[in-house]
Amino acid sequence: MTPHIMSGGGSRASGAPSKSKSFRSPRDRLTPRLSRATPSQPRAPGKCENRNRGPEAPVSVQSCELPRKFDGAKRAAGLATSKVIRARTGGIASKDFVRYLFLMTGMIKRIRDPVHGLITFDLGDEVDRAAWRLINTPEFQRLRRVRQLGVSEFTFPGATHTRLSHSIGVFHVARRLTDVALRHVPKDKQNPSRARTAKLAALLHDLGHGPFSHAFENAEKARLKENYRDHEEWTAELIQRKSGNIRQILKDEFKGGGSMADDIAALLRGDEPDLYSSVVSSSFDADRLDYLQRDRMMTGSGAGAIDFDWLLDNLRVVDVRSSSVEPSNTLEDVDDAESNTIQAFAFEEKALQAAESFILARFHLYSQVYLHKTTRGVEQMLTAFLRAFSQEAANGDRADLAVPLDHPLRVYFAKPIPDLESYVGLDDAVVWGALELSAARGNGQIREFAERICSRRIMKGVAIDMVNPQSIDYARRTYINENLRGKFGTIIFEDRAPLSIYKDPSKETVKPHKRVYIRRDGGKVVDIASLSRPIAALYQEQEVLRYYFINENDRKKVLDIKGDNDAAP
Amino acid sequence: MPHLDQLVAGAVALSGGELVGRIRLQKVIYLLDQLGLSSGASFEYHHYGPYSEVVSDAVTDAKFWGHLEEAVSFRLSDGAPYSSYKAAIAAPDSLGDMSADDARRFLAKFNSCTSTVLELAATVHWLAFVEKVPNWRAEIEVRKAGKTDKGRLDKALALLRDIGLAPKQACD
Repeated sequence: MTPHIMSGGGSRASGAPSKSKSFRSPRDRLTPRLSRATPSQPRAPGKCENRNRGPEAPVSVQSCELPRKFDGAKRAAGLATSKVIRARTGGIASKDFVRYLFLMTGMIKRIRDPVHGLITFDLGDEVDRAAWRLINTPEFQRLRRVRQLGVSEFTFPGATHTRLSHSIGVFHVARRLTDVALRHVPKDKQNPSRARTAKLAALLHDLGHGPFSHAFENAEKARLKENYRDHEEWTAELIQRKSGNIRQILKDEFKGGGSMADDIAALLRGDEPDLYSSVVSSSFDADRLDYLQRDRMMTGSGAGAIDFDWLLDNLRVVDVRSSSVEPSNTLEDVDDAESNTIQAFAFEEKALQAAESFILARFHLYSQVYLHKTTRGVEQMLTAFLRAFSQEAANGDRADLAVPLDHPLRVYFAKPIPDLESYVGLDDAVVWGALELSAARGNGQIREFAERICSRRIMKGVAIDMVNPQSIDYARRTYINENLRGKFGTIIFEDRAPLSIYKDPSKETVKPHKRVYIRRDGGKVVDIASLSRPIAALYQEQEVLRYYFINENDRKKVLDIKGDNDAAP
Repeated sequence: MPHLDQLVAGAVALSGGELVGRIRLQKVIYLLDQLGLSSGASFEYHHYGPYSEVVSDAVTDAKFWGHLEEAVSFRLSDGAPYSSYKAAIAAPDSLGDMSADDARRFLAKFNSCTSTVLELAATVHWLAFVEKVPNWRAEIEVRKAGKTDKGRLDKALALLRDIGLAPKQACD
C-alpha cells in the first residue's frame, strides 16, 4: 500500500504551527511526520503535496529504491538521502517525504527519558540533526560524568542523574516552548532563526559545568579571585572555540562560518534578552521545567510537584514593559514608565494556581533538597578538600599529593590560571579518583577531608533561623561571632545561601524576563506576586545560615548556648 | 568600626528613616563608599551596575538583628514587587568614617534622584574609575541602553559633579 504523504501540518520544521490547544504526546511526535490522509484531505495515491514547492508533484514511494543503510560517519545522512530521492524523483524531494523515509530507515533517533518519555530527533530537521550530532561529541559526553546534583546523593541516594540527561530534557522542553512562541506570536513578529538558536542553546547550556558544580565553583572562587570564570564562561568558550567539535558541527549544519556558535553563546550570555532567550533563561525556562521534574523524581522527594501540561497549555506570549525600575523615595520614575515593551511568556489567569505551585515547587525543592543540611555539609567538606588540594598542587612537581603527576585534577590545579584544555579533563570521576587516593595515601588536611567524604563522616552543623529567629538564634550567633570567627575557613565553615522565589543572582530586583506574568481576564498583564499572597510573602529575600564544625567540641559549645526565651535581640 | 549591617541600617536611618528599592540601597552604599564611608564592602559589576554581595548579606543581617524592616509593595502599573526599607534604629552620630551631617547631606541629594539616575551615576563612576574605560560615555550607552536617554544620563553626571565624583571629561 502506498502511504499518503502531506507536508506542513503539525511539524515544527514546517513553520506552520498547529492551532490545536493540546500538545502532542512524545509518541505523537512521530506521527505528524508520517502524516496520514484524513477524510477531509483526500490524496491521490502516489501524490505528494509540497507547500513549499507549489503544485503537487507525483512521487511514487515504490519507485524509490531506499538506501537501507546510511553512512553515519558522513554527517549529511539526511542530505544524502535527499539527493537519492531527488535523483529518483526527477529533482523533487518533499521534506516530509524525506522524513517518512528517515523513519522507515531508522533516521528518527529516539531516547527514552524517565521524565519526558520518548524524546525524538528527526534527522530530516536541521535543528534535531544538529542536536543529535552535538550530543555525540566528547564535549557533550563529558556531561555523562557530571552529576546534576553533585553530592546530593549523600542525602538522596537515587539522585545520581547526570547533566547529560538533564541537558537533553532541556532541549526537549525548549522545543515545546518555542512551539508556544510560534503559535502565539504573529507571523510578522516571529524570529525562526532566533528560535532555532534558543533550542540549541538549551541543549548546550550546561556544557561548561565542572565537577560537583557548587563545591568546585566555591573552591575556585576562593583560589582564583578576579581570575575566576564561572561555568557559563566555560560553556561559551567550549561552544565557540574554533578547534572544537561543537563549532564545527554548527558550521556544517548552518554554514555562516560557524556564526551559529557565536549566536548560541551570545544568547546564553543574555546579550539581547528577548522571548527566545527566555526559553533558556527566565523564571519559566526550559532548564527549570526540566530540573524541577527530574530532581524531584530522582531524589524521591514528595515536594515540588508541578502541573506541567496545564502550565504549557495556558502559556501565552504578551508584551510587557522592558523597564524594571523601582519607584524612588520621592517620585515615580515616570520616564521609565513609558519605556519600550518586550515580548515575554505569561500564563492565562486560569493557570494562576498552577503557576503559584510552580514557583513554590522551586522554593520547596531548594529548602528541602538543594539546601539540605547534610548535602551542604558534604559540599563544605568537598570545597575544603579541593582548596587544600589546589594549594598543594600549586607547588607543581614538588607537591605532596597522593595522585600521580598527570592526574587531571593535579594538572588543572597546577596552573595558576586555568585553561580550557585542562578544565575539560575534569569530571566527577576524576575528583572521586583523587578523593580515594588521597584518603588512602594523602597527608594532612587533604587526607582528613578525603577520608571523611569517602567514609561519609559528615560535618555536623548548627542552623540559625534567619526568618523566624528565637532568642537562642541571637545568642548562638553572638557567641559564634565573638568567640569562633578566627576558626572560620579552617575548622569551622559558615554556609550562607539565599532562598528566593525568583532566581536572580543580582538580588537587586527582578528583571522583566525573570518575572512570572499572569494575563488577567480582560487582558491586563501583571506580576504574579501582585495576585498571590503566598508568592508576595516570599518575595522578601530569605537566607539559610548554618555553621559546620570539624570538631564536635566546638559544635557542642554552640549547642550549649541557650537563649532566654523572653530576651529581645 | 561598626559592622556592615549597622552601617546599612544607619544609612537608611540618615536617609529620612526610609529607603525604597534594592537597587537604590546598593547604589547609595557604593556612592557613599566613594565619598568616604569606608564600609569595607567589595563591589562587582552586575546587571544594574556596581553590586556587593556582602551589602546584600548585611541587609539580611540587619533584618535579623532587628535594625531594619523590609516591606514589599507592588508597582501600580504592572504589579511588579519592590522592597522598602525602614530603619528600626535611631539615626547614628556618624556613619563609618563619615560624619552624620555629611552623610545626611549626600543622602538627601540621592533621595532627589530616581533609582535609574542613581544606577547611572554609580555605573559612570565604576566605568571611569574602577574599570578605567577611557570612553566611558560610549560604554554606558551600550551597557545601559534605553536608560541613558530622556536626560537621565545628564542628571546622573550632574549628581556626580555635585558630589565631586565626576570623571574629568564630565567636568569639561
